[in-house]
Amino acid sequence: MVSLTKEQSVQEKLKILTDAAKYDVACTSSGVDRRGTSDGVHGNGIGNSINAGICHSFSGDGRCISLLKILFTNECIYDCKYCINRKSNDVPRASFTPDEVCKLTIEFYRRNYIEGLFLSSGILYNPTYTMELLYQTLYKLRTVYHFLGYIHVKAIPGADPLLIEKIGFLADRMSINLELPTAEGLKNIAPNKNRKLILGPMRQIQNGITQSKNELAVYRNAPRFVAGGQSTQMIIGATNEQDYQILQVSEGLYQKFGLKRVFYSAFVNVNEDKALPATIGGPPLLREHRLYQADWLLRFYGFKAQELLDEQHPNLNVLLDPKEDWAVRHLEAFPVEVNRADLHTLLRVPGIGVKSATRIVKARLSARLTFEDLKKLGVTLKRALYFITCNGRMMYPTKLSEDYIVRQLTDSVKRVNFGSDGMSYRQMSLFDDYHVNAAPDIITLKKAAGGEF
Amino acid sequence: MDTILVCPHSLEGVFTAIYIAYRDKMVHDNTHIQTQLEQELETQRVLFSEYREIQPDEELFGKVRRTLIERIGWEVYEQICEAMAMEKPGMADSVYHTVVKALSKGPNTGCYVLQNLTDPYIHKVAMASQNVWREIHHLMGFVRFEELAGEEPILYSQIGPKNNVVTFLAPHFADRFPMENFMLHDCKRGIFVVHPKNQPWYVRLEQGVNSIILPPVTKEEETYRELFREFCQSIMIQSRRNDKLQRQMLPIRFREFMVEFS
Repeated sequence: MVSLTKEQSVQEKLKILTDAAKYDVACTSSGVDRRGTSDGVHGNGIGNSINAGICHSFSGDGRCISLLKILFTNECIYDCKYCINRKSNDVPRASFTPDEVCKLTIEFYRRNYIEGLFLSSGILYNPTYTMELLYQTLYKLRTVYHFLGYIHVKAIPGADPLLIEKIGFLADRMSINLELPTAEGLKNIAPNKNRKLILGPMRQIQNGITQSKNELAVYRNAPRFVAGGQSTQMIIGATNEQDYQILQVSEGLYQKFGLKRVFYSAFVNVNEDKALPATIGGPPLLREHRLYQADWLLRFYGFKAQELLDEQHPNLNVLLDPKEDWAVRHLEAFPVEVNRADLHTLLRVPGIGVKSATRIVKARLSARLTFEDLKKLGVTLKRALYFITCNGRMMYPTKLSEDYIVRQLTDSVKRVNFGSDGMSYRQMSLFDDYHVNAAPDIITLKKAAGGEF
Repeated sequence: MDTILVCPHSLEGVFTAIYIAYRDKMVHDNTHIQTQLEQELETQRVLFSEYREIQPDEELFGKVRRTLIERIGWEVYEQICEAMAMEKPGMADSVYHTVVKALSKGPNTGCYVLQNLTDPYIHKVAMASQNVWREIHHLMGFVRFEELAGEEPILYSQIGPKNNVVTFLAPHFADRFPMENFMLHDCKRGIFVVHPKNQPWYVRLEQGVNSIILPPVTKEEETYRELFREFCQSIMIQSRRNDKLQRQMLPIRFREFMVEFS
């Protein structure tokens, strides 16, 4: 690929290559604790990293800006239908040099604009060549510029495994995008990619991480391989997979590939490709939101994908969040006595999160909890009150019936509604929000609320 | 009759008052600590109570500090310090009674004191510490340095936090930029944290100084500001635009000091 345009300035390049990278979701800087000095005073580099991750800014879409998220180049030999940088698109192209990336990272970092670097790339010539460019950049940043901040780098499917291993010792997190939940979907939309090429390096990184952890257990100063773990990303709504399939894939990735995070990205039809669905009403943000909620349930609340969804009930409920939805279908498990139930049971109550559940368990060691106390501990009683008792009593007399609780939970005016204009807290209406034209009869309404759609 | 110990709003002041309350064998339930700053915020005085002024004393502070770290552990001690960074009425008193509760139980239980959230004093301290920690964590990200010209460039940052957190931020940045000269300036309280290259950081108080004269910014500074603004603009996905979410994640009060919003 020969660029016929004149030499671009760094500013132009940054604009093009940021714009090209923005559809990548993972902008987290968490998972690694690394000090920049030996004693809080002396150090010979720049940067450190804290486990919780730090957000440095938030862009106009409300997403966090933590890392300098750029592509190394947006020149690409692939022609994936969903991607803005595909080769058949006529968009301005640019490439950084390793030094430009290093300089930008360091200067932004010194001013505390960013927490580190997120480097991805289009495929220039071939995967191995591209990966080598990324390696050069990272190597320079770590050894010449002595940068100790966070680095997230994309592994490029099909690149030489040796390069992936070498780059793993420089980066804090690596990720390979799964792009689509099923192999079939991938074949249709991204003709140059295949599932095997994606899962291969993913397995390699997983093995590398395990090996590195074992070595660290014996040798304290052994080099660390991808200390922040690996992540991946799936596009939601480009193909017709159901939520059940997506969640099962995520669960498999967490269990079998030891992934740290799976990111979901609501599909935006940037290319207006005819093979892909149009996103006129905006990207499917509510679906993305529900998937993230379900993802959290898998990772932190001890739920299994099978419990949340099944073949008869393959999509997440629009009106209720996944935990409420599970709870109203399993009323036999409720009500839960807050002063006695174990942590695991408490975590399954809607309105009680990980934080409030641990607080409850700790606080009840020294006192019997009342509803008043629960409020103080951060329990959302508005949702929890149908499912809990305190000292044998419910907060208000309520019926333990699915219909009743669903009506109560969905009735409140304050339910979140995601539209293309973002979140609005107006009352949801079936007619406006869900494009129902005729007034639904009572059975349909009940079904809708029970999540049978 | 209640006794109210009045001290300056600082860890030194409150710990000295705690020492005195223990030394003079006061009945803890009838004793309260109020700081001068809290008195300004809440001008009402309580009738039929004795007010007693306490002068902070470094030695007594050290004694209390040592005991606390030993008995309640570093983590809880840090949380108590964070709570004191919040300038709200009743905070010193809550800290005092939390300390009393922590020390009244047997050995090795002090570190669990903040778990008993049903106690109003402890609840107040725990929530304040959480609140302050959140602001510290926010500012670790939202602080923006600008490069000032000089023999060696100096990174300078101005912040106006709700709570008095600038000293909590200093260790983080000192660890992050050991080879930089940097300065954090809390312009609401007139507190400077100064970190010379490869040396420990220190605090300077310049209260009452309205304007300080700073050297001009370097030539490249404007370039990088512009680059970052450009970056923040390009990274946004127009079809997901959501100002409300942005406001929720990054409250307006921080934006005054951030280059991408100026």
